[in-house]
Amino acid sequence: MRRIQTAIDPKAAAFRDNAARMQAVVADFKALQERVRHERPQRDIERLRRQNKLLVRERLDLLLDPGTPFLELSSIAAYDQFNGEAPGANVISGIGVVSGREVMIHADDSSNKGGAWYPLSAPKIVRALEIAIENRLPVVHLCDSAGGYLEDLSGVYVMGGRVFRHQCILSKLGVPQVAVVLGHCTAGGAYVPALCEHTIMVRGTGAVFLGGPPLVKAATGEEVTVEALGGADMHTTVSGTADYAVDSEAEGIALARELVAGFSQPRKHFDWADAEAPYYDPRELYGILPVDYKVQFDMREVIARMVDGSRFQEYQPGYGVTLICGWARLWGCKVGILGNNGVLFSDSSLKAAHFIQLCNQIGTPMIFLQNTTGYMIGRTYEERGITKDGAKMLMAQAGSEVPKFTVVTSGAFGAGYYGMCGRSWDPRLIFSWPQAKMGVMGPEQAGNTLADVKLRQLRRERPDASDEEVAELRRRTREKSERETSTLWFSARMQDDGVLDPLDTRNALGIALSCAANVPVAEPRYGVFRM
Amino acid sequence: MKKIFRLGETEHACSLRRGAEGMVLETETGPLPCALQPLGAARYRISAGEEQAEALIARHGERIWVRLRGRTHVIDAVDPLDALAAAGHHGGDGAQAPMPGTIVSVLVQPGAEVKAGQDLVVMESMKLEVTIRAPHDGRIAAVHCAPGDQVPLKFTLVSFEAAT
Amino acid sequence: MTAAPIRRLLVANRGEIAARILRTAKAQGIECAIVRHAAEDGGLAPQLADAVIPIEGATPVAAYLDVTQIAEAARRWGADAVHPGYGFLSENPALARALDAAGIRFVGPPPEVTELMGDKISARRFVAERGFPVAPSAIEADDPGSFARRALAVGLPILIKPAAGGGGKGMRIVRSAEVLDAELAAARREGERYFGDGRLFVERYVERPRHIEVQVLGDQHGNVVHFGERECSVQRRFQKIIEETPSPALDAGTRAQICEVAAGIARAAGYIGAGTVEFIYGADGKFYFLEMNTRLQVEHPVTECVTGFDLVAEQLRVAAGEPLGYGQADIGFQGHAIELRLCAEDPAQGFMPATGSLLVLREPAGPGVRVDSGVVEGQRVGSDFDSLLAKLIVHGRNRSQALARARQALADTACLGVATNLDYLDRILAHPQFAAGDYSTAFLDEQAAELGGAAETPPTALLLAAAALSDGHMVAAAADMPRLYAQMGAWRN
Repeated sequence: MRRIQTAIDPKAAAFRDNAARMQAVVADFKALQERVRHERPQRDIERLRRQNKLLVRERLDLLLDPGTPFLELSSIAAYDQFNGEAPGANVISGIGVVSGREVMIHADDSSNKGGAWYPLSAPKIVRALEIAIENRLPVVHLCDSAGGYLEDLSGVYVMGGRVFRHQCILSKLGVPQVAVVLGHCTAGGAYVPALCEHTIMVRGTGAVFLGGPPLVKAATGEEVTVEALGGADMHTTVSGTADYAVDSEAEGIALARELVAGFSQPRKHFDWADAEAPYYDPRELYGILPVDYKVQFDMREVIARMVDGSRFQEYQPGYGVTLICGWARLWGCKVGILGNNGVLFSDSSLKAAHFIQLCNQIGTPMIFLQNTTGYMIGRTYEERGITKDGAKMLMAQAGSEVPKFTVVTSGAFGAGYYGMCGRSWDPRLIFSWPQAKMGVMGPEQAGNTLADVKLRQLRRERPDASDEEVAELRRRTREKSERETSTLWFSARMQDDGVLDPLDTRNALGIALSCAANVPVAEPRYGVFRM
Repeated sequence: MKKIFRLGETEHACSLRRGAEGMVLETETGPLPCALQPLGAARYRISAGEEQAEALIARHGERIWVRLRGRTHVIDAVDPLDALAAAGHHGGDGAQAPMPGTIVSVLVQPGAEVKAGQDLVVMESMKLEVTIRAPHDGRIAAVHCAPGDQVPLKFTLVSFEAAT
Repeated sequence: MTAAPIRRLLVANRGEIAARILRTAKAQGIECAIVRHAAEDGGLAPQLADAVIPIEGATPVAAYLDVTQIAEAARRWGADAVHPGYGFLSENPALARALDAAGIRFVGPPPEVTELMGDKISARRFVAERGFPVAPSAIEADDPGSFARRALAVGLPILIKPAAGGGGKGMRIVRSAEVLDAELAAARREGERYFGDGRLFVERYVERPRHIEVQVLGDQHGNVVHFGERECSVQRRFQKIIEETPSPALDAGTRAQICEVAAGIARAAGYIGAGTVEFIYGADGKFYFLEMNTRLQVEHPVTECVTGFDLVAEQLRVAAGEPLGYGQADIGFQGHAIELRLCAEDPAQGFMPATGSLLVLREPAGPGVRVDSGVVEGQRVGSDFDSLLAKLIVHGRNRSQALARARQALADTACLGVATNLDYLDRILAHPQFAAGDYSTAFLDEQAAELGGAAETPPTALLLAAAALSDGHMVAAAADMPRLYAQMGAWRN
């Protein structure tokens, strides 16, 4: 496979200027992520210390194999909602290595509101379990949640049940789960450990019950202690709800590691070779990626900084040139890559449909690098069947059985987001870069359209509205539109699997591919292509 | 795999993993690339970081003997779970009857220091003689049974003092 | 008495000394048997013997101490001689008598000599009466009622010793009159426990004494010679671990004097066979008779190195009735020899005997290096017997060459699977006081901290790597991981 020949000049002023601005965006995102992860009320930390509890990240450090990676998912979920009371949705989820096995980890973060489940908590756990199901990943649950968020129980109720449903599906598929009960698992939460193959409880702090002591007292008048009602000793010697009682969190987590060590190591599918670092310096991505999504860039330069040895076997280099297709290896795994290099035309759509089928024929996973303003519009293109060609691309996607992974690199608008395997098209994992924009329309377009509608409404209701009022309305609408097309906005609402520093993307995709390789690829079967 | 290596008075929590080239031992002081090349007859070439040496190595159970640079070293490998479980016993609990039956003999007195696994009480039930053993190291606080006593299931036969 | 060659020899011992005796006897074409208790892992000696005769006893040691059984074993196998080695029955006249009754020769002095010189109290009386130097002492049996008073009259500090036994057991130093009664009672208890004999005696304790002994040999024809002295002051708990010859403490005059005294004592006692006369040598240059060992000593090889004599061969010749055939002037001394006793014991735990399996055993070799070993790799070392595994003996042109060879020999030795004093021995050799030859029997106690090795820093990284990588499960588990994570390392997004 030949190496991509770069055309960029890292010494050029424009390149360096862009790199500085891009780095600032990434730094802002990392600072936000840091706050979401670690900024906690002091009294909550003190309470945990008093209870002899570890912080959730300390628990993770004990659980994970030292010197191995951890891919955290949806790290900034809920950061801008619920008055900031549920940073990360009070849950950490991610893929890590425990006793040499790739596992999905769900860990309640009790350093905030006692780890209460907010309306986005269950969706975050559900998504983690979905990924576990698709990739046959054993799950380790570190349970420490105060229960459903009382102010919005209706927002928690329906999706909460899907956590338990997914746990049952995992078990049905033969994928084991381990729960370490480090706090109270009350009501629905009690099912998380109960549905695991292996359940460990920490004496003193861990408890599992459908109704806690106050509820029992209110309902039946019975007075009972936490330990007697659902403590580790009761559940491991009387009820059999849990399997092991331990004396410390560290012991519980060490035991979980031992149990995971007993799980069988899945055989890896796909075509793997020895991994090779990219030939070109991945840090040059900062200079290549424009901070403004409207500025065009060559996706080959991005591919060259993500794949092994910067080598790329480009498919149909002369046809449908606004969509780059080709094969490369990433962390040793052979992948098919589809990357936008402009707007999607009929030929690029047909090329995509063909390439997707090629990848399926040889069982090669696909990576979609999105930078799309959508499919070309206009009379000429409609006459040439841009819609039916886009439909072919979608049909090929839907029929595809190989795992798909998506990165929103810069712009992701309109139906292009669907065609390029947006979240709605079931990529195994989808990540976004922090400067990227996405939405039905571009932010200006969306802002202007909305402003026009609102202005007409304003003029109808108050024909005497001042110029200042009109200007203010336009400004507010534009701001809202800017904000709500940001990838951070989407990520905070669990519309992707997380925002990534572009430099972290190669590793994230490597982990994603390794996990996906646990499952053999089924035969593709397609619907009717409108020819 | 994590292990605690006891070397003299010091404990080293370590974890071995495969690295980019060869093995890496994750230690408290950071990752340590290492290798062990057998030279035959218990002789090995060890490398750890920048250091290299030839040594004789022998293992028996959890004990590792290393003859290196004219000194004999003994390292004991401890499973972290064993270490944590041992650290976790605070006493204050007791040994219970696993089934209803009659006490045959009582082998300990209050105040006695017992080791995990030590025989405490012999009882008979369903024509079987069962020996109740100490679940962990500790000091006996009280004995709640005497030979000839009928005891129910889960009766606390012997209780332990809480560790100070 | 007519000389009759020994053709069938039973070695009534075990361990390194049994192997040592077997090597000499076999080299002379003598057919050899050895006894062994079923419960012991015999080590090297049974492999060298032509026959192994099982012996029984409540404990393995009891079997080796069973005179009737040993004599019967010798008779049944048709032995014409029994070599007792050291320890066990070597100084028990009953064995010599039982063998004599069966017409079997005992390789050692006749029972009367053993009775005279083997009993510490009678020996020192005998020696004193003949004008040889003996430390001021008081013997309980002389008049038990006045023993305590007489003990104090010897002059503090005094050393309490059991009348029977040896090996340092039951010995106690008393520096103040108040504790005398308590210490006497304790020593008596220990004597009763170890030797079945609570009788005691006391002698003046020589501060910072050196322990110097002289090898003697007498034949059945009245000839007695000495083979020079051995310095045995490196002791822990009154037990020797390093011996050397010549003693770095003696000048030529004193050496000649002490050796002559030893030979004179042996001659006076009508001594036959190999024996050792032990002396206490004070910082003031005075020496006193301590006791006589009527047998081959553990540390005899250093004498063999510098004299070129095979003392076991000489013992067999004497037992066969041959005359020595050489005089004192024929015995020359060449260079310097050091013996190091490799013991299964843990210096860090008060030299407590250690047990285990000899997983790896490497013995040194090279110019001037001799190993008297009783063990083989894979052997189980139990607690039934003495902790001595092997002796490393080095011979050099002079003391510094011997010392250098000793350190190299220790470096080339390995004994894994059982705690040993190997590293401790090296720290003694490395100590400047030992290098200078300036030490007494108090040396190890005085330098305990330094000799404990606390100042040594272990090569932690190498040891952890060895521990982890020699664990097959750990290596297999480490390798059992999707391959890309090996390179990715501790990455976090």
